[in-house]
Amino acid sequence: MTRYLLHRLGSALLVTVLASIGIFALIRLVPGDPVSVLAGPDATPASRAAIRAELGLDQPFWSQYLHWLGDLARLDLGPSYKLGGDVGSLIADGALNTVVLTLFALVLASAGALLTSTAAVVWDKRWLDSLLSALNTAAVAVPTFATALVLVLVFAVRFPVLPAGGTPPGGFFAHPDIAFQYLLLPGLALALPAWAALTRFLTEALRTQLRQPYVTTARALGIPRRRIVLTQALRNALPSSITVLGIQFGTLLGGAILVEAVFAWPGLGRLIEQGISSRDYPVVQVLLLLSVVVFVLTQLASDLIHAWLDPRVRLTTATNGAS
Amino acid sequence: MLDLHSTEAVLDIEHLAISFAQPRPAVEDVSVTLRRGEILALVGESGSGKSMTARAVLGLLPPGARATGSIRYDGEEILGLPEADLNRIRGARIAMVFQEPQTALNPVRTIGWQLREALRAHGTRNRKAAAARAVELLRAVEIPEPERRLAAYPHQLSGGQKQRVVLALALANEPDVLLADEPTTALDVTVQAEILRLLDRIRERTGTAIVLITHNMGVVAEIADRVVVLQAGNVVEEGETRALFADPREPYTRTLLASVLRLPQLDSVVEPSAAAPAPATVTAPAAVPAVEFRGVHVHYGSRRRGRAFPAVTDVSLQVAPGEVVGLVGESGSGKTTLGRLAAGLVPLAGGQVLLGGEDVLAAPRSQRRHLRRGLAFVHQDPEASLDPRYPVGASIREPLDIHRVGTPSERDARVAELLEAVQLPASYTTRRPRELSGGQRQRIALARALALEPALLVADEPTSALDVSVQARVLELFRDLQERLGFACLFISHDLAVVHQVADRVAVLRAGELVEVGPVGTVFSRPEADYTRRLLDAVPVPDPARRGRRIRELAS
Repeated sequence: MTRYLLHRLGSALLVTVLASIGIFALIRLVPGDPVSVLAGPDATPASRAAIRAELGLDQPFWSQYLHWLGDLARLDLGPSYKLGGDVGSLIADGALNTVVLTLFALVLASAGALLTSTAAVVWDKRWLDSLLSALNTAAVAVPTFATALVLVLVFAVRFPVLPAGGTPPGGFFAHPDIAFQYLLLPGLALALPAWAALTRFLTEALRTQLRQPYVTTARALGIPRRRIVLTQALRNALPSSITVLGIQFGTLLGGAILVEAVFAWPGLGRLIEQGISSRDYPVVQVLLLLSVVVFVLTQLASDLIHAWLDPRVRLTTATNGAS
Repeated sequence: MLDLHSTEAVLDIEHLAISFAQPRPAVEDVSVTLRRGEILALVGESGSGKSMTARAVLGLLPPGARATGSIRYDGEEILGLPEADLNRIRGARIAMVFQEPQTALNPVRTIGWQLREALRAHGTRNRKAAAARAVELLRAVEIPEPERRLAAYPHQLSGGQKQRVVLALALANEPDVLLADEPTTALDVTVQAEILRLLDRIRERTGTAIVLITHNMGVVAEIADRVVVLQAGNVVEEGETRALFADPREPYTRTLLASVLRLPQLDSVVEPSAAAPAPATVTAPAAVPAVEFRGVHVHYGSRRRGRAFPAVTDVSLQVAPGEVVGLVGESGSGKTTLGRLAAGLVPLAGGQVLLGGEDVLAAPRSQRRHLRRGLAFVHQDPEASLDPRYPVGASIREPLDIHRVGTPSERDARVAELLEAVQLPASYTTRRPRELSGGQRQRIALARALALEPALLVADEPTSALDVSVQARVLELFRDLQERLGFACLFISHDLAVVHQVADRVAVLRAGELVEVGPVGTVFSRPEADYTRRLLDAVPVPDPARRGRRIRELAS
C-alpha cells in the first residue's frame, strides 16, 4: 500500500509541474497584457517599457517561470497587479467561501446521487426510471449559469424564501441554519450536473452488479432483493463511482466560477474571473495552479478510497504493484 | 391424482414449460420427480433446458421468461409464488449451487459475512450464534482452519475452496433439496473428485436430496442414483444409473454415451500399436524440432521486489515436426504459460525457446515477426477470440492480409478453401460469430489458425467449452487436418481423455515442473510418476459398475 501511494504521489507531482508550465504559458498567450491594462490607452512607449521592466515581463519566458517557482517555494505569492493587495491574502479571503460552497455541493451531489440511484434500482419501476433519466438529461444539458438564474428567479424573486445571493452575514459558523439558507441555492446550482452524472453512473453500476452471479447466489439463499442491493451490490458499485466522483470534482471547480458570479459569492471563482479580465497574472496563475493541485489531490484521494473499498486492491497491491 | 412416489417425493416437477419471446421454448415438457435423499442427475447438452428447469424451481428465471406447468415441493405448489413466499423457500427448503465458484461469491465481503447473511435471511439474527454456525458449516464442507477462514475474502481462496464455501452457503439452513448446477465443471479433476465425494457424504449425513445438473457422464456414473436425460427441452429417457448406462434405450442417450471419451484402464495391457513405434518414426534425430524448450524458467510478478512467483521451472521439451504433444496438468501447472512462451508472449526468466531451430527471443525484432508466422494459436473460447463485429471470412483472411500473401482474389479463394477444410460451406464467410454455434466458431478459429500453414499450432483447451458430441466431431476434424497438413501441435488440455485421443506424446506438468513425458499409451496406462497416477485416478469413469471399487481406491 505504501509503495502504491508513493507511485501515485510521484505521478501527481509530475502532473502538477507540467500543469504549472502550461498555465504559465497559456496566460501569456491570451491577447492583451497587464501592461496595457495598467498603463492605460494613452501611455508612452517609455512608460510602458518601465512598467514591463518593473513587473519582470521583459525577462525571457523560462527565467520568468523559474522566478515564479522560486517565489512559490518560499510561499511568497507577491502583490497583485491590479486588484490591490497581496495575492496571498486575496486568496485567503476567498478560499473559505469557495471551500464551503464546493464541499456543500459535493456532499449534496453524492448524497443525492446515492439516494436517487438506489431508489431507482430498489423500486425498479419503469416510470421512475423514465422520470429520472429525463431529469438527468435536463440537469446535464442546461448550463450552470442558467439553472442558477432560474433558481434565483423562482426561490428568491417569485417566492422570496431564500436569499438571492451573498454570503451569510457573520460567517458560516455563527448561525448554521442561516448559513444553510444562504448555501442552498448556489450549492444546488453547482451540484446539479454532478448529481445527475453520478446518478446515471451509479444506477448503471448497480444494475450491472445485479446481473453478477453472486447476486443470483444471494437470491437463491432467500435474501430479499432490497437487502442485496443495499448490502452487497452497492458495496461493489461504490469503488468505480468514487473514481467518477473524483472526476466530477473538476466540474464543480469549473462551475464555481459561474455560480459565484451569479450569486455574488465572494470566493475564488469570482477572484479568478476578475483576475482574468484585468490580466492580473500573479492572481490567475496561482489560482489555476491551486485548482490543479486540488484536483490532483482529489484524484489521489479517490484512488486511495477505491483501493480501501476493494479488498482485492487493498490486499494484493503488495504483490501486483501499482496497476 | 395419486402418484406412486407421492409419499417419498420431495420435489415434483410436472409438465414444466419455459418460454422466452423466441420461436423455440427453452423447456417444452419436463416432468421430474425427486425422492428424499436421492441423487438425481439431470443430463443434457447446452440448450437442453437442464439449468432452466432448476432455476424455475427457485423462481430464478431470467427476466422475460414465462414458466407453466407445476412444481410441487412437499406436495405444495411453488411455481408462480410471489417473491416474498419464494424467499422463505429459497435457501431454507431448496438451495442451489452454481457452476462458477470464481464469481458466485461477493468479492468485497468476507466468507464469514456471507455465511452470516445466509443464516440471517432465515431467522438467525444472533451474531454469536451465526458465527458459531458458520464455523460448523465450513467444517462440514471440510475447509481447514474454519475459524481463520471466516475473515478471508473470496479471492484469497482456491477455486475448490470457493466451491466448498458456496456449498456451505447452500447448506446453511439445512435444505431438503440441493440443486447443483454443474458444480464441478470449472474445477480440476482431483478437486472435482473431492467435491463429488463431499456431496455424497452430505447426502448420507443429512439426507438432503440432490439434483445434479451435468453434461459429464463420468460424473453421473460416479455418484447419481437415477438419471434423467434431457434434449431440447424434453425428457428423452430416465432410469436407474446402472440400468441406463448398461442398456440405454433411446438413440440420443446412446450417442451421448458413445461420444464420451474414455481413458484406458490403468492396469490394462497397452495395445502395442498405440505405444512407442509411431512417435519414434517422427522423432528421427535428424529432424529439427518444430519447437524446443531448453530448461526454460518463467516468473510472474516482479523479481525486483523479490516476490517473483515461479510459473514454469526448468522445463525441457521438444515437439518434432508433425508431432502432437499433449500438455496436461491442473490449473496453475504452467501449461498455458508454456504455450504462450512458444510465441514469445511471456518474458523468459531463463533457458531458451527455439522455433524451428531458431531462438525466438534472441532474434532481431524484424525476424521475430517472420518466425511467428510459422506459429498459430487456437484458444479455448472461440466466442472471445473472434471479433464479434467481423464477418468470419474477414477473421480468417486477416492473417493473410497482415502477411500480404498473394493477391486479394487469391486470398478470397484461400478463405473458401480453408472453410471447406474445416467442413463449413463457403457461404459462411459473411456470417458473424454470434450466428454460429460454439462448434462452428471453433472450426472458424481453427481455419484462421491454419491460414498461413503454420509449422506449429498451439491449441489451448480448444474443445473445453464444447458439448461432448460437438467436441468429438471437432477433435476428429482436428486429427484429420493434422494428418493431412502435417503441422506440429502443442495441445494443452486439462482433459486427459481428450489428450489421449489426439496426442502422440504427453507431458504432465505440476506447479510449473515437468513431471513426466512419454508416449500417450505408455504414460496413461503405466504412469511412472505418482502425480500422473493420481490425476488419472481422479478422472470420473463413465461406468457405474466401477463405482464401488473407485470409492474404495480413493478412500485408501
